[in-house]
Amino acid sequence: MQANRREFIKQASALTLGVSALSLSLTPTQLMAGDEPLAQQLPLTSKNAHLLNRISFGINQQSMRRINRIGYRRYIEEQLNPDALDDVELEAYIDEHLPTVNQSIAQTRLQVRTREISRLRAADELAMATYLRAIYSKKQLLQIMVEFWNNHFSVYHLDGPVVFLKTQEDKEVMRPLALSSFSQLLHASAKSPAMIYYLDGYASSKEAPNENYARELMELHTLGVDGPYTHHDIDEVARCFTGWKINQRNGKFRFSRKDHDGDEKLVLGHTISSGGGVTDGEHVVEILAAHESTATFMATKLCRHFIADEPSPAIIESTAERFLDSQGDIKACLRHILLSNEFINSQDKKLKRPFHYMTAVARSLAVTFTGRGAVRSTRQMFDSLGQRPFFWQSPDGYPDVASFWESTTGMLFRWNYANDVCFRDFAGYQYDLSNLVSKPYTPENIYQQITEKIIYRQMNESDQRLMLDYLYDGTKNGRVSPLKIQGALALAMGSPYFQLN
Amino acid sequence: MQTRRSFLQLGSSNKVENKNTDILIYVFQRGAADGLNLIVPHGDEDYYANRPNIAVAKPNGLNDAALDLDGFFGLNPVMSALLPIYENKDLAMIHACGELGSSHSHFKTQADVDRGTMDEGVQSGWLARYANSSNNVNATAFKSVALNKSIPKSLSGAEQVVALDNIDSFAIKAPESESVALQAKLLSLFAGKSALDKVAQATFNGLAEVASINPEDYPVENEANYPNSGFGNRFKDLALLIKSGIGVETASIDIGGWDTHNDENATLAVLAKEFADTLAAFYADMGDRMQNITVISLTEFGRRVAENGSNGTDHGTGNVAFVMGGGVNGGQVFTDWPGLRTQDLVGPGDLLPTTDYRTVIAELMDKRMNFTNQQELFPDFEVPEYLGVFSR
Repeated sequence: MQANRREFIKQASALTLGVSALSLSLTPTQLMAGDEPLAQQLPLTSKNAHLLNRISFGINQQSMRRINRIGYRRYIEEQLNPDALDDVELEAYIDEHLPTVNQSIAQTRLQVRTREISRLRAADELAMATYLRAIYSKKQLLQIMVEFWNNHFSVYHLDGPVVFLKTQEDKEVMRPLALSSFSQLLHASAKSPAMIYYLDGYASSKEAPNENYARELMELHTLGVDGPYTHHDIDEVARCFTGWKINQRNGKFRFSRKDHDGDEKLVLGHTISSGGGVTDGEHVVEILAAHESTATFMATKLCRHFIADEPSPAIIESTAERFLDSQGDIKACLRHILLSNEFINSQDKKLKRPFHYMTAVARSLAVTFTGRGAVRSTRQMFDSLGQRPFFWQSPDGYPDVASFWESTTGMLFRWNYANDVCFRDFAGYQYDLSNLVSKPYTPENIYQQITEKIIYRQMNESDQRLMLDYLYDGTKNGRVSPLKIQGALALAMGSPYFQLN
Repeated sequence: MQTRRSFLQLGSSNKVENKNTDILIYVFQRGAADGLNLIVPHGDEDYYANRPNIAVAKPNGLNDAALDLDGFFGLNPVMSALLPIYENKDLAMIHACGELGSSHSHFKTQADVDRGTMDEGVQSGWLARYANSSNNVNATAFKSVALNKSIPKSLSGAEQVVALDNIDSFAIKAPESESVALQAKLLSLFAGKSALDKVAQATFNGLAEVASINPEDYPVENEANYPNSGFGNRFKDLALLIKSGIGVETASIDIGGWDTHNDENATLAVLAKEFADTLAAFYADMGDRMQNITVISLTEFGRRVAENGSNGTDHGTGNVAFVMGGGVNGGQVFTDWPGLRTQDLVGPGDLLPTTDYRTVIAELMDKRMNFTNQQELFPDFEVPEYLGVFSR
């Protein structure tokens, strides 16, 4: 480990000005987290490109032009106020081609009962809609936060009626509230039938409180596993939420007074007086949302998502303060993070997770999709790469650190996905090569366009030579064949220049 | 499009196995399996008092009753496939096993068990610490393999590990004419020493190994019948890898879904059956090779002794561990049974773990894996006298 550390510092210190801050921001704990740095130091992207890598599902030419025109800060503000951005065409497409996404649970259930659609249709369509929004929406930061909250309040799509209920939760909780306040989200999640089913709240009653939701609410949604709660708090919180049920007819939240334990409870030192009803659980949500441990826990998760797998204690602390003094305002926390020096100096400290990798490939190439074939191909790739939306079985959500994702299988399927898309071997996926890469098809011109439209940075000298070698091999009259261009695109997207974020 | 045969051969494949030690397969039942309903203490009346609705009936010859193991414990009948292996003395269980003072958090305790310590300063897994110590000069890319998309914490820190989700798809897809050139260039793009570079290099080494075997040469033997499920298929692939001589020394396989807060027996009827049928199929398929294979199956913690109000059980402590192989002193349930009366329980009503899970692993490592550096294996655990679960 010592040798690796020295080597890393040597590498870092050999770099020029803007990068030297990187080695300073590394604490000993970070070095202990892995035996070696995530990746070799590579030539960096611009500050704007770095921002787009983190607050969008992949850079494309339109987003790059936009941020270069209006600037870093204004771009953040534009993304933090997504109502002004227009996704009408995208939403109309989803409405037409993925109809279960916007219809009522009752209607979807009826279609399943009459065998008009399969039971899994709604799950497939929601996953596809999530993917399409990540690729085409102009509200990119909103999509990032929707994914963040869907993962924070993770439920498993195949757990009984969650297959229907998740569509409603995504539409009524995650999307409208993704940029609101943590307290609003926590309230809505607690009353969301998908969550009530998944963590067994529906089976909990006065006579027999089920502790599953109570435990995960504190461990995973708010205070964190090291938070200041005891087993007694879990029992008491479970009692507070007794009677929180699902209306079987319409799939909405329902409070059942006869199942509710109305006696006094003591939660984290707060007395919840007897005689309360649905307000008992709401009171618990208020206590937890405002708790200092929650602020630290959520600050850690946000910084881990946007900055680095092991963010510094300083940025976590300042983000937690922002969380507390803004009453959990999500926009305020995001502004704080995205304008911090630690964020700006965090290039390449994240690995794109599979979902993000898939969308980034599609956005780079301006892929278009057609028919059910695209839904099937996409589902297969979600499964191969290991991150199908809403398919993490346990309630902690997909991991947000590279150490989980950097496996041999993960690497192989990321390469294969890029190959499949670039070589057009994928049902329902198309892209226009001639539109993406302009002529002349000389090796140098193609390499140049890859740096401008795919990786948004230069390669180091040896990698540049290697790309040119690949492109020169088999040229006719100095021109590269379309197949080779596709291969070069796949190579660039399989490389660390693209996989890192 | 599939170009396994045109694969760029990056190195010679070594097919020499280290015969001094077993192949070790570590199964993790994620979600906290209910040891009390898998290996049922039917001789303890308090079991029935605590579980009026979900207890497995005393052995009575009927289909839904426990299958007696030793007069006190019985096998959940959905796991009947394991009974012949137990009777053949190649399967044993360790009951009231676990770790005292473990948290009731799935995620924290899974990490504890995978790392072999509650000390979060230790970041490597115990399986990785073993794998890194073995100095087999002929070790291949497949020395440590996770039948998984990702690498579990037990193998975190291993010098080389392949995560393989399924053999058939473990190949680069590219047009024939581009495949070799693309792979060569990709490899050069990941030529450094960073974590990502190492993973890419391990991927290429693994691809080369897999490309060098022909799966059809290693059919399922002895009419073994693997369940067509994630767990079943992964064990089937692992069996193939072992037969091919690709160099597997340690393997890790997960089976999730054990968090039975609700309607527990309905879940176990499917899941515990899948678990048992898979292990039984693997045992049959491996035949005499089982003399040099040990399977150990752990779960993060057990479940509450008393049932909850949803015909399920909440998080507990003590649980059951399974060990299978030729080196196992099988046909026994090892336990220092603590009892199930209220005064016998720990925490919110949990089975007291009288055997630390690490005692079992340490004995396995010593007697079957030729690894006696217990300080390295479990830095903060002093291994007590062995239970006698394994023979040398």
